[in-house]
Amino acid sequence: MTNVQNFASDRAQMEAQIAVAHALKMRRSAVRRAKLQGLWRNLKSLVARNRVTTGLAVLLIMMTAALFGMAWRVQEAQIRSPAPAPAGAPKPSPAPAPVVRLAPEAKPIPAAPAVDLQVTVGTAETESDGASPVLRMDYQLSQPTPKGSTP
Amino acid sequence: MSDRKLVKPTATPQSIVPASIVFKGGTIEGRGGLLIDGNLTGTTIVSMDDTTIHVSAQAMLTDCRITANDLLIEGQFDGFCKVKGNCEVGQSARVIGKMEVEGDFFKSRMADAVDLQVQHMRLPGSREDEGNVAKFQAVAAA
Repeated sequence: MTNVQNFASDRAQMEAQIAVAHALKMRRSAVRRAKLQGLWRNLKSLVARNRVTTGLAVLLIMMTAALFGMAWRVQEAQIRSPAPAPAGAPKPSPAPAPVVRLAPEAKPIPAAPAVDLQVTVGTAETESDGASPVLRMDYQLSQPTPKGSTP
Repeated sequence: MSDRKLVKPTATPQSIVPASIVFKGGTIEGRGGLLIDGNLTGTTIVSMDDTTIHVSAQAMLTDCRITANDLLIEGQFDGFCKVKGNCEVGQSARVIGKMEVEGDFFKSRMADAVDLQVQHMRLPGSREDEGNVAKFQAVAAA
């Protein structure tokens, strides 16, 4: 048998296996569905045959629905109005009035650092050129040096 | 999880009646296990060896006769069965008719077998005692 024939035979075998696996899978799902359908049909016939069971089942369903409805109503009422405090419990203190600020407060301007200046007047003289008197003064501004440091 | 208690179907049955088959009348005889998925009406099914006949949940047998060693019914069956070994009726089964079982018989509580009449031809556990055959109505209408 040539390589080509071998390849074709292997391929056909593989395809057949895939087809069988697919058919088995489909059959399994169909059988599962049929079993469920049969089970449901048998259950229905059982309930239909026994009226007591049917009545009990209906009663159980109605009671469950009523319980759920009551629980829902109670929950709604609690949400709308909170439950009153018990008699012995201390009364809660009234909440502080909220502070309403109409406008933001102006921030204070930070004060300029104080500068200590020293004026040293050298000479002062007046002279006149005939029209108005002129005061000539030599002065010097200086900052006093802190103690312990060299100027 | 398997719900089978008594009868285990053959893992690889030699013969299969697929779900696409509608068979009316006639006789099916076979060896090596038979799996029935199809729709059979008025058919006689005979197992020639000790293997199991499995009527699956897809099958619908109407007015049929089954003669087998072991029988497992999970689908709808209407007719007569003669079982030499054990017989089981699964929870999805709907069985109407009459059964003659020589071995053990198990019926699921969910199975619809109101109109089923089961006749034990031999007491369970005494299959070897051929001379002491007891005939009684084991289960009549669940």
